[in-house]
Amino acid sequence: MGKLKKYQIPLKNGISTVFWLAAWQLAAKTVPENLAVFLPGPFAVFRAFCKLLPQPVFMQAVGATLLRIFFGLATGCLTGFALGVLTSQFSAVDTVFSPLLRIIRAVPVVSFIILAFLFISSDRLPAFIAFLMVTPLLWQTAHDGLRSADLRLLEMAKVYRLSRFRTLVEIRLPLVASQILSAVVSAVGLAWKSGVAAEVICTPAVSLGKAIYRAKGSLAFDEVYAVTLVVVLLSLFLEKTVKWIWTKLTVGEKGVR
Amino acid sequence: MLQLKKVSFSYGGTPVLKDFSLTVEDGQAVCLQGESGCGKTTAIRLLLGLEHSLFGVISAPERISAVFQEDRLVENRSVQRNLLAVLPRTRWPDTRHLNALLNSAGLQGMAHRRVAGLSGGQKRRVALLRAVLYDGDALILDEPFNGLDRDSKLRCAQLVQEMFLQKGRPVLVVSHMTEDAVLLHAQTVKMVRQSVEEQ
Repeated sequence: MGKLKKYQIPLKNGISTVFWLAAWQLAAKTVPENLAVFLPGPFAVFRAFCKLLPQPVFMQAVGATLLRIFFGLATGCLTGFALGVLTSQFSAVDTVFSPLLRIIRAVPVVSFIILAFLFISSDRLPAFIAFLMVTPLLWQTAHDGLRSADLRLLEMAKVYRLSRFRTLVEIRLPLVASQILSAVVSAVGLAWKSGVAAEVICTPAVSLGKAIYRAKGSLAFDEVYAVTLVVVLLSLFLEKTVKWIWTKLTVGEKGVR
Repeated sequence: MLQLKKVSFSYGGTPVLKDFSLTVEDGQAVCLQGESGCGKTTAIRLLLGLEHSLFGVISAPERISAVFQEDRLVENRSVQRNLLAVLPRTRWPDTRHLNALLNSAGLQGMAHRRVAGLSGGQKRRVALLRAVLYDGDALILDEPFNGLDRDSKLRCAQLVQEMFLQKGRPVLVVSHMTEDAVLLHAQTVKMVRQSVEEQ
């Protein structure tokens, strides 16, 4: 029974994957011939994927995009978190920054891409766009979490005469840790979506966005799907890396001389 | 010394304490008893500086160790981290001292366990150890031995004796259990609504 349970989830996932691949293949087969180029089947996409991987130029593009997105994600997370801490603790900072961050959150990403492209080079724009999308998400999570700390714990901190900084470090931050991790994981997906969209629009010389743009231009839609698959895999890889780093940081707390 | 002298206090127009007086001398333990809602918790909140009264005199040391009715621990942090949280880094004990303290409360080997995974009794003892480690000039305990077995109660009472009473520091306990007062050799003070009578 125990062994069966162990395989239950992978089995369910496997069945689901096979079902959707079969549906995709069926759709590719039934689509009218004049539209077939836009919906290649999974085998054609996999073949294009295998053809792309060994190409040094493509791997350079993978590396460059990964670096850009990671840079935008990391700086966005750090900035958003720092702003969340500051706006939750100091009402003056809250008054100045909160409206700006709310506006940034509401503006469509494509508007930012078009406007920022006037001032920022195409190489740097995707990282900047990822940064802009991630910052408000982390800010909101940190701000709300830190503001809604358990009052009884704050009373305890007051009785034990903890400074504002120690209260933040010892009580408020540990209480929001899991919310911050969830926000960072969501931010990974957001950074990829917005960053690659920026690459497609501003086409930096070495980038996955340019690979998608070029493939679309030459009607090689199997390649468009294949590059998209690479982006999904890279996003999952980055998500796993973030979770791994988080585990390393939070397990094995130190504190005694 | 912990002292409330003719203190009156009300929550939003509802009087809770009226001309209430209580004194706990240095090295003395006093156990405050009384029915629910008679103002026991309000009295200790006033001494801890969590409430402020316009009437009467309150005198208490600046640094007070406290165990609240609830454990008030950060659940997703380790026992060790919760204990050290109330101390400045310069006063953090070495590993041997910390382990000895954990042993004295029957929490050996639990320094790195997350509080969320502890039983109710173990959490209670961590809350008490935090108060002991803080080493305040007085100790205030609100239902400190809730959820503890007889052996753990004895260990904790001994800790309070050694770390506070034998050092000449006052201890004020709020408890419904007469046994708690006996364990701490405390003088019992029965509190009734808006007044106090000593046994």
